[in-house]
Amino acid sequence: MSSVTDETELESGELPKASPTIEIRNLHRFFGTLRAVDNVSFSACAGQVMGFIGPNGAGKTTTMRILATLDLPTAGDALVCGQSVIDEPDQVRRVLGFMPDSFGRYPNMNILEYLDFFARAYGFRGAKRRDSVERVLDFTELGPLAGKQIDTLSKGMSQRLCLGRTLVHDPDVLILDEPAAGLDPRARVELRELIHLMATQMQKTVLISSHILTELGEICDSVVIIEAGEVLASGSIEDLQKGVAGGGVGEGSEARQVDSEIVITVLEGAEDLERWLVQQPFVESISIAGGRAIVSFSGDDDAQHELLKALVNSGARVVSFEAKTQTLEDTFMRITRGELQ
Amino acid sequence: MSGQAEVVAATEAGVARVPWSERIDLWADRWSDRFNPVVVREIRQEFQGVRFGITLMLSLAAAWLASVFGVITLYDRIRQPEIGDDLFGFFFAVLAFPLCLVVPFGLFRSMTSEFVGTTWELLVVTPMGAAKIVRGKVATAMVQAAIYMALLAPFLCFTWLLKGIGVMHIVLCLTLLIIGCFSLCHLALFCGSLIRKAAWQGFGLIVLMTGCLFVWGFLCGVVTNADKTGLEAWIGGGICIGIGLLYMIVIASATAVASLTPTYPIYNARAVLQAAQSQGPGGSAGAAASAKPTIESTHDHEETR
Repeated sequence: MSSVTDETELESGELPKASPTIEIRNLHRFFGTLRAVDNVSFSACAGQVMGFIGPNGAGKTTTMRILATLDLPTAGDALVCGQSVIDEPDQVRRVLGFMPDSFGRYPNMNILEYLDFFARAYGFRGAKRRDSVERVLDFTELGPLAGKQIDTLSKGMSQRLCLGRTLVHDPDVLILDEPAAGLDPRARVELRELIHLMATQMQKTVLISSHILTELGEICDSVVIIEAGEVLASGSIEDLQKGVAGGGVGEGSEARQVDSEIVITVLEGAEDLERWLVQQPFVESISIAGGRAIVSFSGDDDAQHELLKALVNSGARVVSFEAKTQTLEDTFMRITRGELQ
Repeated sequence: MSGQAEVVAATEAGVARVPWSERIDLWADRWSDRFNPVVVREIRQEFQGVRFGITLMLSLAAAWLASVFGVITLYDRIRQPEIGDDLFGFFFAVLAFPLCLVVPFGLFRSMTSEFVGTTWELLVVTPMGAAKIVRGKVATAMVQAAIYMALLAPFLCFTWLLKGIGVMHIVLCLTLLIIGCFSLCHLALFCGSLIRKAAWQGFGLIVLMTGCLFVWGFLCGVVTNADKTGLEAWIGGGICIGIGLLYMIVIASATAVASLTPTYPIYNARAVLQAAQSQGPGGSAGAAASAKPTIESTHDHEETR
C-alpha cells in the first residue's frame, strides 16, 4: 500500500506505518483573490519518490516553495522530518534539498568551487567539507569536469550539478521542481537513474514535479495530481491507473473503479466476435477495427480470466488478448479538467 | 626504525615534495574556513573575472602616470616643501575612483545578479541567513577596497617623501575615503536590494552612479582644500554627515536583509484552523471545512515575490 494519504486519512488519525518525512496539512496559499493552493494535504515517507503533477499554474511550484521555506502558507502547515516550515524554517533547511526549476549560475566559477561554496554555506568545514564535495562529485559523476566553468556546461550537466548542489549537505528530503525540463533523452535517463539511486540506496524522500509524465511514471512510486490549487487524486501509480486511488479533498474523494480496455485480435470473424461479446458480463462497449475488437470491460482480473476462457471455448480464432493498462498520461487526462485560474 | 617513525618520515617527505604553490593553496583553503562563505566565493570570482584585474591595472597605470605628470609639471618646484601636498591630490583622486565607483558598482551588480539570476533562492535555503549573506557581500567589497589601497599605498608614501604633507593628513584623508567607500557600498546594497527585474537595473545604476560621482567629487574637493577648512567646520560637518551616513547604513542593511528573507505574512490561519478543528461539531472534516479561510480574510497579506 502506498504511504500517500489523503486528508480523510490524516484527519481520522490513520497515519502511514512509517512516519512521513513530508507531511502537508490543509495547506492554503492565496495571492489576492487567486487560490494558488487550496486545502492541499498529502504525505510521503523515506525512500519514496513522489510525483507532483498538474497543469501549468496548478499550484505545484507554490507548494514546493512553501516546503522549501521560500514562502509561507496563508493557512495550514507543512512538516519536513517533523519540523514545521513555519515554526522551524532553519531546522527544515538543514534536512531539505531544493532544486528550483531554474539553475542559478554564478559567473567565473568552476564546478568544484560551486559545490565547495554550498558546502561552506551549509556549515561544513575542513576535511568534512572536502569529503562532502567529493561525495557529490562521485555520485553525479562530475569529477572529471570539476575544473570546468559552470557557465559553459550543457543543460544536462547543469542539471546534474544542480542536483549535486542539493545533495551537498546530505538532506533526507529532496524537492525537485521540473528537473527534467529541457533535457535530451540521454540526460533524462541519467537523471532518472540518479533519482532512483537516491531513493533506493540513500533512502531519501523525493518530491518531484514534471510535465513529462512518462518519465514520472517510471521514476515514481506514487503521485499527487493537483489542478487549480486542489488535489484531485493521490495514491500509488497502479491505484491511480486502475482508478481506485483516493481523491484529494471534497469532491472526487470517493474511490472509483474505471473500465479497463481489452484488445482482442482474431484471425477471422470479427463480427461474430462482436455479437458474442455483447452477451458477456462486464462488457460495457465494443468497437471493431479490422480484425481487432476493443472492449471496454468493468470486471476485475478474475472476470477477465473467465472471459478469456469462454472466448477460447467458443471456438473463436484468437491471436491475442491484451488488457491495455492506462498510462500515467491517460490517468492525468482523465482526472484533470483543464481548468485555468 | 619503528612503524610510527616510518610514517612520520614518510609524511615529512611527502610534505617536502608538495610544491610551494600547492602548499599555499592548502594553507589558504584551511584558513578560508574562518571566513564568511560569500566572501570566499566572491573573492574567487573576482580573481577569475576580468573586471577586478583590469581596474587594478588601470588604477596602477593612472597612479604611475600621475606621478610622472606631477613630477614633470612640478619639476621647477621639486625642492620646495609643498610639492607632496599637490601630488597627493592626484593620487587621492586616482585611488578614490575605484573605491568610490568600481567597488560599489561591483556590489550593486552582485546584489542584482542574485535576484535577476534567482540565485538568491539557493542562498536563502541554506542555513546561512540573510544577515550573513549581506555581511559577506559588504565584506567582499571592503576586501577589494583594501587591495586597491594596499597597491596604491606606495604612491601615497611617495608624496610623504616629497614633503609638504604630514602622516596625519594622509591618514585622515584615507579614513574619509574608507568611510565614503563603506557608505557607498551600502547605497549600492540598498539600490541592488530593490531591483528584482533586469529592466530596472538601469534605473538603479543611474541613482548609484550619481551618488558615487558626487561622493568622489566631494572627497577630492575636501582633500585638496583640507588645509583651508577650520577645525569647527571639520567637527560640525563630520557630525552631521556621520549621523546621515549612519542612518543610511542602517536602512540599507535592513532593506538588504529583508529583501533576502522570504516573505512571512503576519497572520497565519493555521492557528485558526486548529482552533476550529478542536471546536468543530463531531467530525474533524466538518470543522476543517468550516475553518477553510476565506479570500477576504487574506486580502491584507503580503504577496510573494
